[in-house]
Amino acid sequence: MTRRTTALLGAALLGLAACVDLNEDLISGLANQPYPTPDVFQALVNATYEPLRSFYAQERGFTLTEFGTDIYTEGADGSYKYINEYTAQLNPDVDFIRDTWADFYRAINTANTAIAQAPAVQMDSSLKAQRLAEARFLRALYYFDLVQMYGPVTLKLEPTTTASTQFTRAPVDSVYAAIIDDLKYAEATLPYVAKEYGRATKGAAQHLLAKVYLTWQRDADSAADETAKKQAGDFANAADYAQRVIKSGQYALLPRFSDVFAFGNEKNAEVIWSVQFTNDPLTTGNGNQGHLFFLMEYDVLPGMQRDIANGRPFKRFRPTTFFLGLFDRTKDSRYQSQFTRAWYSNNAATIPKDPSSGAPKFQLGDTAVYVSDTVLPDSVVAARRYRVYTPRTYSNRIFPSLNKFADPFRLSVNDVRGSRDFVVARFAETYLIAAEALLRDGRPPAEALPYINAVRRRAAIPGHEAEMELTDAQLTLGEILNERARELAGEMQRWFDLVRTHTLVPRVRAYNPDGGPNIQPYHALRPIPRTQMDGTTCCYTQNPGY
Amino acid sequence: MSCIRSTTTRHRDTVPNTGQLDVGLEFTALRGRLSGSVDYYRADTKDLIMRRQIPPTNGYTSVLQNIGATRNSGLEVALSVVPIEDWHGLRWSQDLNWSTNHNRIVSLYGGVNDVLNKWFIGQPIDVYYDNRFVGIWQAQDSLLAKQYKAKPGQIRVADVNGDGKIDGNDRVILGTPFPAWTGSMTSRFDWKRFDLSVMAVARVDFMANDQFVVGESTMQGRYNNLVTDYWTPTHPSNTESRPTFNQENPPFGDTRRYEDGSFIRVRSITLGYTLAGVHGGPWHARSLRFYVTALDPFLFTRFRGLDPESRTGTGDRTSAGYAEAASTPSYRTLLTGVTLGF
Repeated sequence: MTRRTTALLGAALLGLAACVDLNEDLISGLANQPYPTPDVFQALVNATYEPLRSFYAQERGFTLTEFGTDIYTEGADGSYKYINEYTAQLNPDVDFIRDTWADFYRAINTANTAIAQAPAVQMDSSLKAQRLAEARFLRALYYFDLVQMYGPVTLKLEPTTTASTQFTRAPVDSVYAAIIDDLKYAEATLPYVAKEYGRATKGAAQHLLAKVYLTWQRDADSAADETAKKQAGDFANAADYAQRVIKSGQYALLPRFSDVFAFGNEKNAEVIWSVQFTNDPLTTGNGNQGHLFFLMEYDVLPGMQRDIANGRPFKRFRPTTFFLGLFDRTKDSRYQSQFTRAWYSNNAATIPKDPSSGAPKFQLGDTAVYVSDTVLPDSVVAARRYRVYTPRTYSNRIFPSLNKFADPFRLSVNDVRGSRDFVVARFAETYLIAAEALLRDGRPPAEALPYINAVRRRAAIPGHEAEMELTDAQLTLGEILNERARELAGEMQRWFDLVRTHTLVPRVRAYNPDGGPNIQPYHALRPIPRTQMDGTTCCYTQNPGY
Repeated sequence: MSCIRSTTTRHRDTVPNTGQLDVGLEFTALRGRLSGSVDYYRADTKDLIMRRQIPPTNGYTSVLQNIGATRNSGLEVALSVVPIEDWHGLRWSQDLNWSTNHNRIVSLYGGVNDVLNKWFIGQPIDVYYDNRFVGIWQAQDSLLAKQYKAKPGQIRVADVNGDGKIDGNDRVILGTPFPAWTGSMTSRFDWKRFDLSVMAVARVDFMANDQFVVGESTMQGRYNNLVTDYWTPTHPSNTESRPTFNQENPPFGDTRRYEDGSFIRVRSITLGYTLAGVHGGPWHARSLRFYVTALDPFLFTRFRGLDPESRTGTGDRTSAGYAEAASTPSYRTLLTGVTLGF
């Protein structure tokens, strides 16, 4: 380079530097009002679905809904045992509690943006109404989960335009009023069958409406709540919406309970609405991770190794003795079909050898481990060639393992991303909602019984259908709760069910050995996250006790 | 298709503008054997733009915006001395640098402290704000411990407001990652064909976020852990909590991560030997130098983690969780080399 070109280049650089306009407008971040085009509007509605997958079928959601209940307590592993134990670590800093809050409000704001934009969008008006109804359905679902977990929460129905630090907590009643308003619009607008599978439907809105009416807590006191709900017509409304789903003719209970979660059958007549996952790693997000958490530690036992079909055992959630005792195993198929108790050898290298002959005690494919339902004499256990555990030797590593979410379609043995859809609204639950609503509304047992008995007959071991039916005298709220445990265990219902029926504290005290000693009435609400408390400038109150 | 927005709404922000005052003095004395400079600076920045966290009920978790004004001031002293110019062929030159810097938030939007972002008026822009570790709950205090929902053997933190419970109101500003002063020193010796240089740096009185010690002392027993002096009923340690198989992290375990990161580090030592030139066969070199260099050979610190220099961020905001623990600590390097000059 000659000296002259260097000089020119230097001058040019100096010149450029001198021309930067320091007075330009600085616009940071994204525009908060995307142009109201059909594409953006539809993208916003689609985006409102996405945060479902931050909670449903994730450790976050399972931990906040199955842990610390009467049916599930802690297994050997995991960082969140305090949520089961109700100790001081269950506090406003818990990431699951913080992130659920943040992700749901993010979803709500996305829904709010779509809803606010809808009037200006130029597109086919029936499709637009449908998408709008989907956004309102989802907003209602997010608020429903929030109000159940946190109690009075900020109710925001308009999109955020400027960052604010001033928020208040709306009374529970007004949150429920907004939820019902959204759901009624969705119910009136959506079709029973969505053109694209996975989108919200009329049936989903009806099912959710039934549940919302059943859940709406009008008083912290159990007896007063019952009276107030009856007077307000909540139970009648819940029964009405549940019956609309049942009478719609769109859904059916599958002939056998085991069919509901059978592989390759996830789009079946019993699924009203499910959160979608796929086997495409690009679009499935975190995947359905339910296959991980309910499994016992089979993989280190003699003759066994971890494989895709058996699953990756995180041993987070262990069924309580109470839960396992709920099944009449002579006539209820649900114990057999939803708990894995036998493990078949898949590892020749660790098959134990007979001490005298040196021959393997069993072969590949033979039973390697059996988790017995009944206590057996030591002599019987010792005489078996394979390992036998009995209820006496169950531990936080060894227990009957809920297999509803087993996922042998994962790409590798340690892949946490399952591809199966996660059912949020299932037709069998609609029946149980109807039964509970009618019972609590004070109707004659003959009205409620057919609904719960339909579920029970379906669950029967063939030939025992009649024995499964409950009688008038057996129909109690406690029995309905037990039925929900048998039918819906693991489906992210339990903690909500117990809070809804004011039975969290007595049932956890009675049946959860780890949470029972610590649980207090205030635990029926989760703490408001620290991020919200710290960021709000005035008067955001913490839930009592935290 | 999805369109996920977790940050920011539109703001009409202004470009930060900084007014700066500099006062300096340079001097040379003793025919150049002593020279140096002293600089004082003070920079006032208005309309500082930062990513600010906001309450999640906004639907966004952060926004990029003008947050307020800061003042950054400091003193820098540099000194070069040649104590020995030529003593039997020996030359020794010495450079010293010393600096101190203070930054603080002068004003914030809204005029009040922002606890969520850990921004406090009058304090540096990065501070550690958390519960204060005061030891381990001991058996004789078990009744008091129970009141705080704790058990003997668990970490005890200060009940700052004395209300009988530990919560967010008991957090205090524990320190800042900015040091009180930093310094460096370079010595160079030349004797005949030998040259030796030594460089050392110091960073004094700052708080480091020791994620290594926290992350590797889970006291659970599932993963390898550091050897620690942990509590047992018969060994009432006051520094590390009791091991519990049933929890993957001890309550308030994060409060163990704050410690003084002060250190002096010898950054490099180089010894060289230079031949005047090489002429032989195909080789024609004006000079030839052999040298040995040790990089980061010595570190003097009481910091317990791997390296106080890779642990100087403020945990929560600038590097979430264990990001810091993953930053590579410096390592000792021994280099030998040959320099040919043509």
